[in-house]
Amino acid sequence: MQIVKPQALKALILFLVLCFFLTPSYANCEQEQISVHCGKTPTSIFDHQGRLWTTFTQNNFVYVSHSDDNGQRYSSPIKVNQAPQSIYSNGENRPKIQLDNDNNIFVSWTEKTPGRFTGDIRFSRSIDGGHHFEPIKTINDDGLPIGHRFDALTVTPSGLVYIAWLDKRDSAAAKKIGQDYAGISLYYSVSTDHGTTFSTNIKAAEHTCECCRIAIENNGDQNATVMWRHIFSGGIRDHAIATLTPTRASNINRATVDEWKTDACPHHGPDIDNSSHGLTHLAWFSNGALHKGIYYGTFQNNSNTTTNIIEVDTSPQASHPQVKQFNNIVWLAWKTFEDNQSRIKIRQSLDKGIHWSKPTIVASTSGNSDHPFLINNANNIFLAWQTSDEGLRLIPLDEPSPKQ
Amino acid sequence: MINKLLLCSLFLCQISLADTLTLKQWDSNSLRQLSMHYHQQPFLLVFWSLDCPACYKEFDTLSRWKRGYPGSHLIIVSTDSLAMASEVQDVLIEYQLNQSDTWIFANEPTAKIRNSIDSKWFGELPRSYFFDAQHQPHSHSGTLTTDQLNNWQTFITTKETVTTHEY
Repeated sequence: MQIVKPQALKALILFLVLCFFLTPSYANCEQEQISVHCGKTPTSIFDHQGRLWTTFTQNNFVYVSHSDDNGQRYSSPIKVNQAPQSIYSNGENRPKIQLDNDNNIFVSWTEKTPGRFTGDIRFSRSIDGGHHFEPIKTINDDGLPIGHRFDALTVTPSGLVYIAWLDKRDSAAAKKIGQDYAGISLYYSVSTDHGTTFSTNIKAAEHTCECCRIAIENNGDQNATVMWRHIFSGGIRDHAIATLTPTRASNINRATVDEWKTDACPHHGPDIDNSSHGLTHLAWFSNGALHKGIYYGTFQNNSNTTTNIIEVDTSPQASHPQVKQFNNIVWLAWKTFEDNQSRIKIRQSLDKGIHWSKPTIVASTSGNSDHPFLINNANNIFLAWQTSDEGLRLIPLDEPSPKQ
Repeated sequence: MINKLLLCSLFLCQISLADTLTLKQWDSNSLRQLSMHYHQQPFLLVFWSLDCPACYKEFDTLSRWKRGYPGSHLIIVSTDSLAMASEVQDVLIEYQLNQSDTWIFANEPTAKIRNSIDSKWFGELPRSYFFDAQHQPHSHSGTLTTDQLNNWQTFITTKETVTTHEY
């Protein structure tokens, strides 16, 4: 009879526990396999030649991998950070990837530092086509062991690199002298030399929500637009929008009027698209007195007002909307939960957001799933969606949707 | 033999988990089981997560209330993943809430679990449910105040009929 030693039994138990809890259930994932399918929070973008670049986290590293066949096969992942870090990696707070016209690759993320709700904004770039990433830079410049989190990254057509984030320095300073302070602040930094150096930190707004992603998009050749959940007078957590320039931020404009008075953490940031001249497409979630669910609106840049507010999906569990204009069609995608399945639905508008198609289901899963993303190359727009059962899927949206 | 060993290992695995983690796994059936467990008893059910600053503010209030009324049923459920169980446990101990009935979301789709609790809950945290003795729920998003908890305590102690918005 085989005798099982206690140590061996303990090891077996540990192995079983690890297998049960930690292994992604994607069928092709093995314990140590590093891939966009098995890692966490993959975020993707196409370069100008149609190559797909994806950043993701796994085992305390940020990785970048690319695909030349729209996600059918991926290259061996390259480490961005050479030493392991604790990295924020969830739907709302995840590494970002952007490229400039020369296909230099820029990656930002938030490293969790000791303490609660603390972190530093990290950045690295590759100027050799993704073969190597340069030593990491820290973008927040206050040197304080506080919260700098929820980084957002964009690169303008002229090559300016903008990084915005939520920053606790003003809140911490107020608390130090015994003053109340609602929320935290929005800061940003700009690189005018393709990520070699960054500007001193610039304050864009005070009293932002602490726990929702920031939406950022190019605004012309030099500037960027940011939208975030703000804390307005009376504790109303609706959205604000502003323009960032290399030297200063514009005044804050109210982007949504939902009247969501809450001190809860929504964990639910907005999305924007700046492809149309003179307007910004907005998509957001609210549980306010006026609006509950997923909404679309058109922010008019000349009047600084949001018009054409459309109720996208007010069904329970509708969440995490994305908006993108591609080939004069505006697309909305969002996640919902129906019939015991997580589903991604889309709607399209042919007239810049005035009229919308009925919702269509383009993907479903029975297991856990990430937030959905809309990305495009020169020819197509895609849904990028990682699910625990299927891995990272890239689903073209301008063709008949495969039955899921 | 292998099957017996595996079965034995799994059994010990559960014991091991119980020894090292005082967190139970909350899945889409747990609310029904909880309702049976607290049959005809009122309870307060609170959902939170590690990355929710407002939840920590609420924990100060909840901890004081629980210490003042140790017999009142407080069920605390972390919506974090199982991989975060150790951190979740540390926070509950730090706030002296480990004497409560403590849980963490199981490895089941988050949306499915949330839907099993309340189809109108969008995921904002903290989220609380006051269940009276008949287990009629009253939901609240955001931090609970001392006044709310005192009103709740009065209600469950005196069993007076009050309208739900009073707590």
